[in-house]
Amino acid sequence: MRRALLALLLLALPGCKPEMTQQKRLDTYGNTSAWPGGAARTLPEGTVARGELARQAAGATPPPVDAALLARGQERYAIFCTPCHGAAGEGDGMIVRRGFPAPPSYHIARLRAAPARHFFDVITNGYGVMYSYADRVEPADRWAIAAYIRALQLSRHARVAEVPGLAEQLP
Amino acid sequence: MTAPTDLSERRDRLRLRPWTILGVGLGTAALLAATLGGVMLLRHSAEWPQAGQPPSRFPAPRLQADPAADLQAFQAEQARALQGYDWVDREGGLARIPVARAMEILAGRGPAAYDPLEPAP
Repeated sequence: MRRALLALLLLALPGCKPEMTQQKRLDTYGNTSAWPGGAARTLPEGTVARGELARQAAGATPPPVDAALLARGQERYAIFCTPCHGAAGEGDGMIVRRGFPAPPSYHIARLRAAPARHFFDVITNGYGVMYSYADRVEPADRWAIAAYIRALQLSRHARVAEVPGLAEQLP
Repeated sequence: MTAPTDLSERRDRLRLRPWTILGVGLGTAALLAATLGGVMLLRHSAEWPQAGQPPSRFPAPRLQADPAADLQAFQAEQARALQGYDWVDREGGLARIPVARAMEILAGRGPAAYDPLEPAP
């Protein structure tokens, strides 16, 4: 008899303190009268992440082009750009071979005539199906990649008269 | 010892109707003949695969048997595109040069390195 009573008490135990699970709280997307909108608050307009203004300012002026910057651009380009744009910038990277829409080649007249700022802006904001790389590529590295893209373009469009000793090396 | 049971008293007499049996048999034979006739007709009217006809070729499965080797070949092909000298437009005086050479040239241009290679249209 005592055992049965004990078992009954044990069964009744989960019924105690239901308010532990049914507390008054704000669910993430629940309604609230404390402020307009849902419980999940949106950032006030004009909010800037800490350090974001400094990052943007860092990309305002292009760094001087030297061998180190171009080498850095080549390395960053190989990491972030070759999957789609290909090593030579023809827009024939591995992702494209797997069916992704092909980006334009860097060796078309429109992009040869484009200012370097255009490449910087495309890396920052994205273009077409390309998403923004602002979170992945630092502003200085974006300029380095833009400079390396110029080198890629020059490698396919070198004027023989402007490059000393080039005529002898051509077939 | 018990007395033998007389089963014949409980057994129903089987009444066979010969014409029914004959009718079922003839009906089955007629159905068989109609089916065979239909198959023969179909064989004559429709295209029927001939025995001994060579099997048609089907496309090879698009499988990548050796992805590592394919990637190496792809990377080698991409790296080749960055090397070597060649003419692009002999009349226009345009040539293809290794990207390393192009980087050297650009590094020597100073602030003008970012400039577009062509004037804006």
